[in-house]
Amino acid sequence: MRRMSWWLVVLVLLGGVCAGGLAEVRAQGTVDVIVEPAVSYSWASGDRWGYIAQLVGFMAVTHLEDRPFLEHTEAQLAASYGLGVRTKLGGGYLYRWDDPLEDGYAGEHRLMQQVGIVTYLGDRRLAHRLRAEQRIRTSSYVNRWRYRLGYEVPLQGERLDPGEAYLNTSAEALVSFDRDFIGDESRVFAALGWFFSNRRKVEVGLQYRAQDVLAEGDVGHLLLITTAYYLSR
Amino acid sequence: MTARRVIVNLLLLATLSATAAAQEAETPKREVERSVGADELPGAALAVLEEVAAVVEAADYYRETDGEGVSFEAKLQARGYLWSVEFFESGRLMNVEQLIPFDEIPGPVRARIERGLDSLFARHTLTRIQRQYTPEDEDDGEDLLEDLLEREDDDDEEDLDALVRYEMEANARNGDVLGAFELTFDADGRLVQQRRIIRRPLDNLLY
Repeated sequence: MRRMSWWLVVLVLLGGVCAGGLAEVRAQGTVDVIVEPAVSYSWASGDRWGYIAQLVGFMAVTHLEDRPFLEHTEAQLAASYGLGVRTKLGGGYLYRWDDPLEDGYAGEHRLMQQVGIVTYLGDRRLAHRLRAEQRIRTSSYVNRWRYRLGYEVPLQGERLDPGEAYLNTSAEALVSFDRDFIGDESRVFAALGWFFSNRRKVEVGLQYRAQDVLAEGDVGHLLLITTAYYLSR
Repeated sequence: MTARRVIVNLLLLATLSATAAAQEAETPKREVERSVGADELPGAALAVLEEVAAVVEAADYYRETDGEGVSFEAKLQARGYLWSVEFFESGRLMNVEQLIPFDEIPGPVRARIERGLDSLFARHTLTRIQRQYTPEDEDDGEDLLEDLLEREDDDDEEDLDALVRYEMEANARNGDVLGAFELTFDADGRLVQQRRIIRRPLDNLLY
């Protein structure tokens, strides 16, 4: 009972953050809602090497008069190397197709390097992820640094058994920069997940993004409804 | 409709249909643990717990099924330790586990365990250590928990009618072998059992 109360508090808090973000967005009349479906496939080679392929779509729900339904699609391939049981080094490549073509070009190449540190608290998991990205377009080159703190907790007992639900939450700070500008973004995320087995799980969640909070001028608000299907070999 | 739009719609459909199927069990043999109230415990288990109620500061209760049988577990805080008390479906005590720091293991036993770990792994970090008490026969279970929680710190473990073992979890590596392991040592520090802990993929936390 105590445990259930605890995760309910977390859920309410995060729901409050998302609702607060949405209220802010609505108050400013700049509602920007995106549906983000994703499919991910991961596999391991021995104990140290792991790989992941991911396909993500961004589908606009609002402002369809100004933009297409499908804004962009991303395909990603990444590898990770286990330095220790808790520490993973990773790197990967992502290609993003844009529609309409931003700056007249079809897409973006993105290189990623990251380190992840996971702490296991029984069957709960706390994950730090520090990532550097280089976003390369024909017309621009932007660096982005990201730090994300994620927490995953079983919702039905202390252990996450097959068929049970879990809560996945995270908060992330991002800084983008090139020679001429610097921009910031903050993200909070809460998802309800269903763990079928070590090979299959699904998450449905909400992510709120606030862009350029530290800059002068309007803050950009974005609300994403996410669905992610994770497959592992 | 472009091919890309078709792909993304298929992505959405795939995730939504998987969500709809969420309640269906994938494996025929499912281990499931759920939190329960004290009133759902068998009477015999409640009787054992009532004997130590005066020294218990907090308690949570769980019901576990593995597709073949049912068991119950009480997680207790008492005398500065966390205790896990497992019961059979009938309420008979199965075992008691006490979460302890490594230096509470008697010196010679600790040294033998360390030698054992060093022979198995190039590097290791112990993440969880439990002292496990299993009743030597059915009748001993009734008083075991009471004996454990009410005895003095310097009382001899040999006075208990229980089999003592040490169950440990370790993050360890040895060449290309890297992972988390559960290791069980007997009261003299000899390795009795070793198994790998299979953890869930980190795909949703790191990507």
